[in-house]
Amino acid sequence: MSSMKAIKKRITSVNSTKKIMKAMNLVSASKLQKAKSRLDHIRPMFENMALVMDSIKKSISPDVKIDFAQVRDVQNSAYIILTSDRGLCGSFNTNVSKEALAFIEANSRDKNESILAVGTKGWDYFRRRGKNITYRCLGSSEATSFADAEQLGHKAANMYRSGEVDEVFIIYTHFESILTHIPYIVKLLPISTEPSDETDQDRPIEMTFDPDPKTFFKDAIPMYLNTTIYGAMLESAVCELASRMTSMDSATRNAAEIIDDLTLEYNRKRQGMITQEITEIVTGANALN
Amino acid sequence: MAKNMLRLQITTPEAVKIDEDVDMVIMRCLTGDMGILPNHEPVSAMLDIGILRIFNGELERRMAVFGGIAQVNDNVVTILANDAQWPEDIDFAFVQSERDRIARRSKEDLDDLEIQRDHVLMRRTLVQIEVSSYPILSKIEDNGQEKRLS
Repeated sequence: MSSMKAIKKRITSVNSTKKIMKAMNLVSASKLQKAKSRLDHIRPMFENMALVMDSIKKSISPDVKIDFAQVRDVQNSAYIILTSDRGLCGSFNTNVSKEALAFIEANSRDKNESILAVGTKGWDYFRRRGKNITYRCLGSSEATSFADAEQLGHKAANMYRSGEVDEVFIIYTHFESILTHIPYIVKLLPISTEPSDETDQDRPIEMTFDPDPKTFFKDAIPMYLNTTIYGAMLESAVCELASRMTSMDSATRNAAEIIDDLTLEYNRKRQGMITQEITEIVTGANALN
Repeated sequence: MAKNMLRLQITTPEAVKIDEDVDMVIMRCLTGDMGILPNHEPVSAMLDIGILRIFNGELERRMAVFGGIAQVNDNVVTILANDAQWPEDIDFAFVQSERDRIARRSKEDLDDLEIQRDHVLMRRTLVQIEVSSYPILSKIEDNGQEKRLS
């Protein structure tokens, strides 16, 4: 049985926690709006990029050797994993990290893995599990800039080109709606030369390249990588904020519930005390008579 | 017969810059300027840092494009640029001070990488200056024409 003073103290402490969570909810709601509009801005580029790549794939002749499309015997694989820098965002980080871990373990039985971690949480998760982390990018999960994506894309492209790794995957959280976030695993390199849209595969386009196809791809594919990574980073950021918003919202509601319970207990105790006092007074008065 | 038009779409990581029908586009590719008219053959090209000229009837607009991919297919011109700016997006005073700063730096002793970076930056700023002075220049030209007509 806790004393009335202790209950009072708990109510105050839960109340201040509730205020903080309420504020965090509001902050992430407004940040979410901003991130969402940025995501809406990049999605057309993302889609156009996919279309352009698709029609290019349809038009290249098989005898053109492209640097980034060579399927090599896989010895080493790289994984880019996008997580957040800060916690208090529900199951966002655990979901994507778990998915990534399961995938890595299934995929690289007898291969070496190297992890490129974006965000403190993912870095921590894989470091504790003794994975080989070759690159980390911290402090950019919420305010992603294109420069961060470029840096990461550059790193991935160099690793692939130098033969350090033979395939590159990116694992991120895809934003469906405020409440549904799905971890996605996408193979970045080597680039598949199969057109994704199979319906009009039978009508190849005769396309000219300027400059020649080899040079074109040397420049175009890094750009494709950067855009894809940037898009994934933004998706991740939006998911993180949405996840934080909803979890803070439910935390605020839980806090209100706890306060209600505690207030009820407090009042009951107060009532009991008053009753006891009255009984004491009455018995005292009776004894005098 | 309906007039043949090109659909021009320019997207950057930040925003969709333009999505409309135009008559002609001249873009700066790595191998030089390339003019695109309706019914152009399918082509994919790498863009250089340069000026993109958009023609629509009598009107010409210019835009600074800083590298990217252009694809022409089926009368649609899709440009995926790293960055692109309309004249009104450019802070003229800032760009000018940047140009002067880089020009001053070129007198200093720099290593190759820095020189290369400065070279790219300089080209950027020069393109920006040219694009942002274009609306003013074209207005002067227009006025001159009106005077000659009257």
